[in-house]
Amino acid sequence: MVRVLAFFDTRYQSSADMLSLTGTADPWARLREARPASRQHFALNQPSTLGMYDLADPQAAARVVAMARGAGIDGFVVDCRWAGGTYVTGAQVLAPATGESFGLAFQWRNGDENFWREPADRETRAGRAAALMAALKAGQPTAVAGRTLLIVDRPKELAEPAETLALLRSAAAGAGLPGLYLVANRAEDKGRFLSAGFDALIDPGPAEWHSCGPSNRPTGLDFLEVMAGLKDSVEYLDKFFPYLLFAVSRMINREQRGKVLPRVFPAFHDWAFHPEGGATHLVAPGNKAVDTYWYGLFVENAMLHTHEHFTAGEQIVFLDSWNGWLEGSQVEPSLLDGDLVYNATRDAIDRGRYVIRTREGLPEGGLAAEMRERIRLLCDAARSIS
Amino acid sequence: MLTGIALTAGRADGFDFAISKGGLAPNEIFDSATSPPARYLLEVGRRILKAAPSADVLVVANPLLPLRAQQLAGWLNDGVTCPGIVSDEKDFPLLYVLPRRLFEEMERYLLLLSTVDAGIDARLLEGLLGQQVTCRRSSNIRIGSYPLSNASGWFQGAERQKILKVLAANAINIIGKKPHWRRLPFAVYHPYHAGSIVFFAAASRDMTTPLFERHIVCSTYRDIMAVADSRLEPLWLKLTWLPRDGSVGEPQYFAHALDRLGDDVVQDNFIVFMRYSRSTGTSPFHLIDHDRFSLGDSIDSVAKTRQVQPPLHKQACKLPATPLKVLFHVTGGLPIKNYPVQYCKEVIRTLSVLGIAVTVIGRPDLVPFGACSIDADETEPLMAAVEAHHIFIGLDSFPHHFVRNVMGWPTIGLFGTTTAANFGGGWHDHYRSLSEGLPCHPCGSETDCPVFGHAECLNYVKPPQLLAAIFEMASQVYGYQAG
Repeated sequence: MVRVLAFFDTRYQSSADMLSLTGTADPWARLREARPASRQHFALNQPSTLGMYDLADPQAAARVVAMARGAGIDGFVVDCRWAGGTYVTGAQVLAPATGESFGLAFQWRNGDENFWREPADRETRAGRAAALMAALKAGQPTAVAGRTLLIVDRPKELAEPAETLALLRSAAAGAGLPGLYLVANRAEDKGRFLSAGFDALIDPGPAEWHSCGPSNRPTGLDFLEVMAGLKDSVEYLDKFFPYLLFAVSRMINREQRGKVLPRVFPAFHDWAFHPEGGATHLVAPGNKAVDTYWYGLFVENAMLHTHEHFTAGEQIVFLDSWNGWLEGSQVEPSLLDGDLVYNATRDAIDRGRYVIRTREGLPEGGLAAEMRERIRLLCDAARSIS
Repeated sequence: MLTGIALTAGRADGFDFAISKGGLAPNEIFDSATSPPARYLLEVGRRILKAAPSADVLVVANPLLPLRAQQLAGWLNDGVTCPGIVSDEKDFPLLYVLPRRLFEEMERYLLLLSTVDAGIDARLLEGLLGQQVTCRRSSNIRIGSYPLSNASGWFQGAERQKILKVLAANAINIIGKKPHWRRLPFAVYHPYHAGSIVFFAAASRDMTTPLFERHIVCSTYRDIMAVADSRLEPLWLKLTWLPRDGSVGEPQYFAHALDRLGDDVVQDNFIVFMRYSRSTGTSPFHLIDHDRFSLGDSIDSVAKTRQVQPPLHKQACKLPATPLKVLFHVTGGLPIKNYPVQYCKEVIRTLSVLGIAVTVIGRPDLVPFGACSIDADETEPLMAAVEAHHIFIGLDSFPHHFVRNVMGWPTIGLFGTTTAANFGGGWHDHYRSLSEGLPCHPCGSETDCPVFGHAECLNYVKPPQLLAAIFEMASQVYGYQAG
């Protein structure tokens, strides 16, 4: 079965450990106060049905999870961050709402820490790894191949990748976890991530991987016009991409990139994180922030792709995101879009699951790897002479 | 949204349904592109009676409108009697108040309702029930001009609405003039194209509650109907099929069709329009299941869809497994629909190297790469060619649909601009569909790629995947092992 896991921001809570991480008692303030700096910036949306919840309230957390389950989402991916003494996930508030059909996976924001970039003695590193593993023991884990899923956000920033991963696996065993399914946040296996010990890769987010060229390609004249106040500076500083081309480009020739799990998203514009420019904007047809038709096809086809190219148990599509309000990628019902994106998500997952079911009648036993390789080589040869 | 209310001894129970996206949950109704709005009205009635079996009266909302039971209740409070219709101020029906006997004893006649004209529908109901039907206009809503297509997936603009009105008016005429009208047959109007004829025939073979006896079909498809084993008797339409270039509109064609069918056919059959009323692309179901729903099956669970069940019949080549012979149909009529020519060359060369005999239909340009090209424009030569090969590989077009659904031959479907789920679907040892699964499909383009501007479609699978599928199928069906 293909599972859909949505990235989830747990910072919308008033718990003490989250306060220690964020330093703010009002996690929604940034969303309320963000103002676009250009008419080309899509306004940030605000929550409607679920409101500006406090996940520390068990009922609010339960409502969030229930709504996600209603859309067919199988679990959340929550960030794990170093808070200067311990790792914080904020996942404890979700734990009571998790279970067999809804689990938690984690994304380790290792880029926030210098510790893993620099050399350290093995004992110190082991201690830090143990702290990381302790933070992952919250709620029902999303088991991938029987193991807890952990995405490493900045795999290239690990000083000793293979050794670090081995350390993490050892720490997981020590913490009583059933093992780790480690996923590198990279678009392709060029850096030999899989041979370093990662189990799979995941397509990076829209800001980290521009899968096609931008539709705005500013020239020197544009720069001068911006400087002269004749043109909106975002046309020079930000990058705009057609949503459909961006999504299709991510799905083309995937097999050549290695074992990479897809990441899908309804929309994206991260200007709130780039007050000085440099934001990424996805623009749907009709100059809209989101087009639910194409988004639905993105989700559905990513599910079919995963079903066909990954072994059972490893078939996961990552949905970015459940509540990424500051990047406009939220699936949660909103004031501007109502439940359009939520419904589109649910419908696409429904469609994907149905189509996958129609494909289950195929007999077991595919073509041997040797024969596949032979076919590939023969095709290469045929291409060269055709 | 589809909705209705059961009135039982003065009590009202509302039922809201959604058009299913695949789950077919208890509150969902199958999404069939070939079903007119009245088919959904009938289905809502069926579902309500199932849930409220002692209901005396059923109030069913117009399926073309996104309504909820709570909204219907507001209109009902204005004292509508049964049978009755509440419409907007311009006679667009909002809801129907119908006696249960209409659903129990005359269910299929509900398919004749136009759902776009309350006056016509009231007269039709009066003819069916033999009693006066009250029509009440609601002054607080005006539906306005119904769009060509809308967010619920319907395309029922003004021109298409005329078709529904004409057929409802024709039914009124029949009932008024023919005392034996209850014995007259029902006929499906879906005269083209070739693949659709195959799907309707397959659906008719797979029915449990057929509401139709006849099928209006272009006479140019006689050869298909002769072998497709349809349970529906053909009514031949002596008119060539609707051109795909948009030069003739569906309503224009329909008017010509009625002329050509002649008075005898038109006045001796209750005709129901079953060309597309909804978009196929938003539904994950196969067209055969769309047609089964149109013909009367409720298909109220995933397990009842044909695509998750074993195929109705399978056949295989009687020749020895070696040498393996494969037959290709890779020409869709337009460059964007063709399997890319470079891919064709690679596949043919590779198969030839591996000692596999390759035949292509109508592609002499591929002969230099190791293929044999044949003509198979008619059903008979197509069948003969297929029977001389172990596996058929085809695009989303008639040969593929015919070979898979009529012949039951081992088939691989190649999908580019259209969706395998709608036209391929249902994998087993004799069938699988292949595509790259790009999120731009179905684009339905008939010119260049709308995303990249290429003349060819990038959603077609590359040669290694197609070749792997051929060898897998050859192994699973024939025990063939590549040398």
